[in-house]
Amino acid sequence: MRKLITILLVIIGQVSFGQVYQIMPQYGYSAPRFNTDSTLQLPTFNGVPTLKSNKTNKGAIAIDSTNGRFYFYNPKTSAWSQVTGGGGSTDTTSLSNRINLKLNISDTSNMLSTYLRKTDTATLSNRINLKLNIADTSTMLTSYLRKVDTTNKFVSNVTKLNDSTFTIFKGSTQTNITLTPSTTVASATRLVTNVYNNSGFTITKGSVIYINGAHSSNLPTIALAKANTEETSAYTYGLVETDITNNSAGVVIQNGTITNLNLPTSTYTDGQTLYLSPTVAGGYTLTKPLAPYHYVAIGTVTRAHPTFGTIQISIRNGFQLDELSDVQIATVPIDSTILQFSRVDSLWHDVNPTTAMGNRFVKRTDSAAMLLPYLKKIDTASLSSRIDLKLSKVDTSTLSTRIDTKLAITDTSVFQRKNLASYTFIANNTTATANGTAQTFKDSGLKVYNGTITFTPVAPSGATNNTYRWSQIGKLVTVRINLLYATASGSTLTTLVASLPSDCPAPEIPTGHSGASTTICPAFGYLFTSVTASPTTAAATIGFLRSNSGNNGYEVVLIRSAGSVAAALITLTYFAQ
Amino acid sequence: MKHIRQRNSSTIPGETYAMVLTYNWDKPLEEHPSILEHPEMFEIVDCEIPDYCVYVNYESYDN
Repeated sequence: MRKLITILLVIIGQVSFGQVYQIMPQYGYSAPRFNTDSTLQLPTFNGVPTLKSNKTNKGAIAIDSTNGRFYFYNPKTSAWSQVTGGGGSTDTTSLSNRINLKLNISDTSNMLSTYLRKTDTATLSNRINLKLNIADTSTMLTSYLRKVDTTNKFVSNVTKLNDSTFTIFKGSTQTNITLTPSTTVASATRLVTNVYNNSGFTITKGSVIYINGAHSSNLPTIALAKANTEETSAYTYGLVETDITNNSAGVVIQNGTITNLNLPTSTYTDGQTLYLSPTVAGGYTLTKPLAPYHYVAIGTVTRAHPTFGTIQISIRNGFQLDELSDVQIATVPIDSTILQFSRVDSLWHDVNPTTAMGNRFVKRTDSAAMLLPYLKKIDTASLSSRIDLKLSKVDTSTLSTRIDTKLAITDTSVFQRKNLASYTFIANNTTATANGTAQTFKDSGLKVYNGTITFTPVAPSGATNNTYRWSQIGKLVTVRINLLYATASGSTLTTLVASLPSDCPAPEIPTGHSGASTTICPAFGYLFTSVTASPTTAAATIGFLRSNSGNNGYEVVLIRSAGSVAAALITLTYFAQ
Repeated sequence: MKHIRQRNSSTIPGETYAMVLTYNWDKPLEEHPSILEHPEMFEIVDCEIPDYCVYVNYESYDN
């Protein structure tokens, strides 16, 4: 029974506390898993919650206990959404990205139109102009200025004074501000100057110019340089970088490179120096101008090319004599003046020649008495007379002609005349000092004698060795004839007649000696038996030179007492014709 | 050519050929004094006279 009672109590307990599931007819009747005590306990999920029932027209909240998130259910959208905010550590999206989610730089105006006031149709600039217009005057802006601002405190204008200076205008005051580079320029390839062209015409690129004044813009004015006058050449400044039209500013290169010029290779060569032209205004030339033109070197051709021609500009103005610091002369010196240095002021001066010579040098106007100290005491002839002794002023032949008579232009040596005529020497055969004239000088050398020989009454015989030689110095002729025979003649030989060699100079015939077989002059000779033995008295002969029997030649005759002869030695001296 | 020569004459060039001058002699050569007086020294020959000959002007003892 006890057991039965226990079972009944259990069954009763289960039935008493059991609940039957039924649809909740309205809010607040049923709250499974919902509890409230000291806290509000909500249903938990793992991840995004889901509705248990199919009722979707009511809102709900739930907790994702796994991820620590709080969700709410929107019945209008039928979707669960995470409740965010509060700066939780899970908010890692960058501000810019989150802004882009709302408003992106790529948004078009159409996209943004929903965020604008429908009545706001003006542009941003227009709307700014409503506040501050570029046309507003200072007066209009006065109300916006701080009350402490006073006159000349605000910049009203800024102008460029030059390449490094600005002029700042504050009301009625102006201040020049020069910009100083923080670092020193170590090098530069060009030196240029801003200039103003008011010449009345365009000055073209590459023209050589000089500065001739200034313009109201504070720029120097320029004009074409030309080397024909001091005014247009002395201040040559540079070359125009690009065309400068009239009444316009431009750039002139004083030093450095100018490119893209017409310097054809047919005219120019790399390395050539250019000079300011004396004939073409603004032009340059390869020919160095000489006086009266003015020397101005422009620069050097560094590339000769018809379109890419390049000049390395380096203006070098020449000086006039009166521009030198140690020369003090008149602007226009008088004619025939010379330069003379003075140690008084260490300057060169223009002086006339007479003043320059002073008493230090002999002058044309000096009298003979003044010249006496310079003359040798024994000199009595005037200088001109003594000069005339050497070269007279009355000489009419040209100096060169007269020199040629002494020393021909064809002479190859001053001290030795190499071109003497053949068989001549130079001698003076006059009664006075005179120039030498050509005289005959000839030596025949040793030759074989082949002349006609006649012995009387008998001849030597055997092998012969007959030679001769002659020399002529001036008119004097000396002849030697040697006739040698192997075998002496018989003892009766008395006479030898030998013809004068045909190449001997013709003898001069003394007056009264005309006709055949006429004796002209003596001859000396021996007729003897052997040249190895001394001649005896008997060998001596009577000898002479005579015209032959036909009177068409000359012969030498030796006569001795009868004897034996194997050798004949003849020496003959005569004057040539 | 017939002429009178010294007997020791040589026809070898470089040696002596001595011919007696007879251009003024209008008789036979055999009658020339050189032949008559010194036949041992001279002789009559009929041959060419070399250009290197020397001449002998024979003078008779009778002159």
